[in-house]
Parts: sequence; C-alpha cells; structure tokens
Amino acid sequence: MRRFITLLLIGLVSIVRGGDIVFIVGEDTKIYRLTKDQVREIYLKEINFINGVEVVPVNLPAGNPLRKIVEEKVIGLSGEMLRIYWNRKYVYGVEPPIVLSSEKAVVKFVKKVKGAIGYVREENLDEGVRVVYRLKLNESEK
Amino acid sequence: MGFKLIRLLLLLTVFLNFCFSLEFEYHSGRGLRVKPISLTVGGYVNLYYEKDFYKKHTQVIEFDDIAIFAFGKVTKRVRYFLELEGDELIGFKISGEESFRRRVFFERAYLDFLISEIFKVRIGRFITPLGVWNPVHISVLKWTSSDPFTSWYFFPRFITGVQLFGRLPSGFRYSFFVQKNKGISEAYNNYLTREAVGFELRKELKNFLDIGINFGSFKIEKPEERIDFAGINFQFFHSKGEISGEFAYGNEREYYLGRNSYRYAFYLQNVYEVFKKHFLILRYDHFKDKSDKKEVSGYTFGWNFKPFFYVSVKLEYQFRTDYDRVLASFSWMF
Repeated sequence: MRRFITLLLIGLVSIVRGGDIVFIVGEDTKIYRLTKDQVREIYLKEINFINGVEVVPVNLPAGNPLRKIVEEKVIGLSGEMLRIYWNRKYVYGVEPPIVLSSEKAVVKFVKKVKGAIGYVREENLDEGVRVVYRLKLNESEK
Repeated sequence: MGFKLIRLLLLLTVFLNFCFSLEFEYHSGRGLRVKPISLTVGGYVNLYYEKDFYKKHTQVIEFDDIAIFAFGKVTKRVRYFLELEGDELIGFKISGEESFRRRVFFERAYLDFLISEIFKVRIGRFITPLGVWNPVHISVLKWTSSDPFTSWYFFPRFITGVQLFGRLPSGFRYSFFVQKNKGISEAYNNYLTREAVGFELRKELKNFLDIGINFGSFKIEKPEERIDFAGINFQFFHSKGEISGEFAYGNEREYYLGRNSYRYAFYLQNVYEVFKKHFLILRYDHFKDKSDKKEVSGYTFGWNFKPFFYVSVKLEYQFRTDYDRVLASFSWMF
C-alpha cells in the first residue's frame, strides 16, 4: 500500500512538473547539477570548464519560444542587448553558443558531444541524457 | 635537381589537398570560420568624420580603423588571438591642421592558457583590462565615436606582457597584468611605456550591475614620468540600455621637471534604446590635469543606429568648455 502511494505521488509530481524546460547533458558528461547562475554563465560563455570538462552550450534558433523564455528567465538579457553582449565577446575570440534547429537535434547533439549542454521541454527528454537544471514555468508559459 | 622538384611537387600536392579538405563558413559579423582547423577570421572597418570648432576648425574624414583578426584554439586549453590594424590608412583633411599615420600595427597578439576558471594566463600584446570603456574601445562596440577622458590619460591602452585573470568562487573577477619589456607595435599606444603593472577586481551584482575597482602604475619613456593610478567604475544594465560611469585618479611624478602633480577624470553615461535599434546617448565628462593647468568638461549628445548587429552608425555633438566638436562614424564588423 505504501509503495502504491509513493508511486502515485511520484506520478502526480511528474504531471505537475510536465512542460518545464530542462537543461540536459549527456550521460558521459560528468556534470550532475547546476545552479541558475552557472547555467547563465555557461550560456554567456563566462565559464569554460566545469569539473574539468569543457562545456559546450547549445541554443535553439532565434525566435524559438523556448529560447525566448531561457533568454528572459535565465540569461537576463534579450534582443539588442544580447547581440551587443556577443559583439563584445566576439572581438575577444568568444563566439555565441552553437545553434541547432530543433529540440530533437539538441538531444542528439548532447548525447554525442561530451560537455555539451542544451535545453528542451521535459516531454522531449530521452534516454542517455541527464537533467542538470530545471526551469519551472508558469501554466501560461507551458 | 630532380629530387628537389619531386619534393616540391609533393609538398604542393599535400598543401593543395589540405586546402581542398577545408570547409569555409561565413556569417556576417561573425567572420569566416575555417573547418576542421580551429580558425576564425574576422575584422572591422571604421569610417570616421570629425569637425572641431577650435581656431582653424579642423575637419577630417578617414578610415581610422581597418582591422583583420584571427582566433582559434591550439588545444582545448590554449587559444590564440591575432589582430592587425591599419591606423588612419586612408584619410582626407578637409580643413585645418591634421596629419595621418598611415601605418599598420599589431593591435593584439596573444596566447591564452586556460589553466582553470580561477587562473588563466595571457601572454603577448593585449588590451589593458581596466575599466568599462577601454576593454570595448573597438569602434563597432563603442556607443559614441569619441572616448571619455578616463580612457586616455590614466593608463596605457595596450600592454605587452603577462596578464593573469580569472573568476574566483565568490564571483569576483580579477585581472593582474605586468609589463617589463619593449612593447609590440609600441608606437600604437596612447603612452610609450616599457614598465607597467595594474590590477582590477570586478563583481557582478544581481546580473544587472557590474562594479570594478582598479589601481596600478606605469612609466612613460619620453619625457620620463611615472603615473600611479586608481579608479572605480560601474555598468548598470536594463532591458533598454545601460548606465555606466568611471572615475580615475592619477598621481604624476614628472622626473624631468622634478615635481609631483595629479590629474583626475570621470564620466557618467546613459544609453537608451528609444526606438528599435536606435539608441540615444547622453554623457557628461570631466577632466582636470593640474600639471598642464587644464580643466575640461562637456556634454555629449549622441545617436547610435544599429541596423544590424554588425553595423553601427553614430552621430554626436559635444558641448565642451574648451571647444565643441561634431563626430560621425560608420563601423562595420565582418
């Protein structure tokens, strides 16, 4: 009975959490948990290494609704100010994150490339990846 | 002779094979990426116009920056950056007195060793990592064509030496640099120096406020002089722009005159996106140099239009206590 209740609770939590944006790495990447600040610094390329692993942030195309949410809620910069930020980085030899066409491509890339980190909707999670940070969304954002 | 020819042909074949195996990918404003080797080639140009209202009303139009840079990775933890700049290569004097340098310099040439996030080493010629304005003084990135006084009179804009930098676990970022040698392209600097040391500590607060303090010392070669400097600066980001300010103080030891003096400068600047891609800039500048008995202050009203992220069109008017100026520029990063 206790086991049944536990499973029921886990199921309920999953339903409540469904639709969040999750930041993922491949199972081979030795990164287990990140804070929001760390994710931000990785995506702004302020951090190059975590636990000795070279991190490779991956973005979705400009205009993608998920990317807009990530830029607004995690990066804290968007639109013109973000482009200005990357100009300033670029002239020091630092290029913006790689852009992949879809969430499916992100999952595939993250599985393949050690150190790669990407974000997808929770329902697009797949085997072989690990969630390192979860961005909880409001009902209206899901 | 025959062997030499065969060897030459072999080398040529290998070279051509190598060239044909390369893939090129160009993105406007992000350069030409060469795969599979780690090389990106980019650059920028700046067409600059200036008219001052001082005595002879000098008026010039020039390509004051034509730069090409290349960067990439040597290994996972070693990176390189090389930049050549043609300074005032093409310029026309419309009126007044003005001369052009028309020379090519190394703007930057360095290797980065990323030992850890806390400890990184840069060796070569690099932009002096002090303050808000100096690290982004490249024409495409600047909000105005003119520079505030704080970025000209307190430390050399470029250093040829060693820089140690990184990010501490507490979130503080530091930069320490030292030069004790002749510089690369040393004529292309605001001061001729072969001896300099400096330190800056920065901290980002709540993702929208960046504060820094710095200090250091350098020796000017001719006329022999030493300036010990200290400064404080900040940048406040908001969704429509940024507010920034810097204060710098310099203590001058003028050996050739046998006296001590001081100078200080500060500015406060507000950048605001009034319409999409159109920014208005308002800056107040102040500078005092006791030694030269010079004190200047002024307001800069500027407009910066960024039709694309790699293009910047600027126009500004400076109301100054010494003389007014009109400046305009067109910068393109490729």
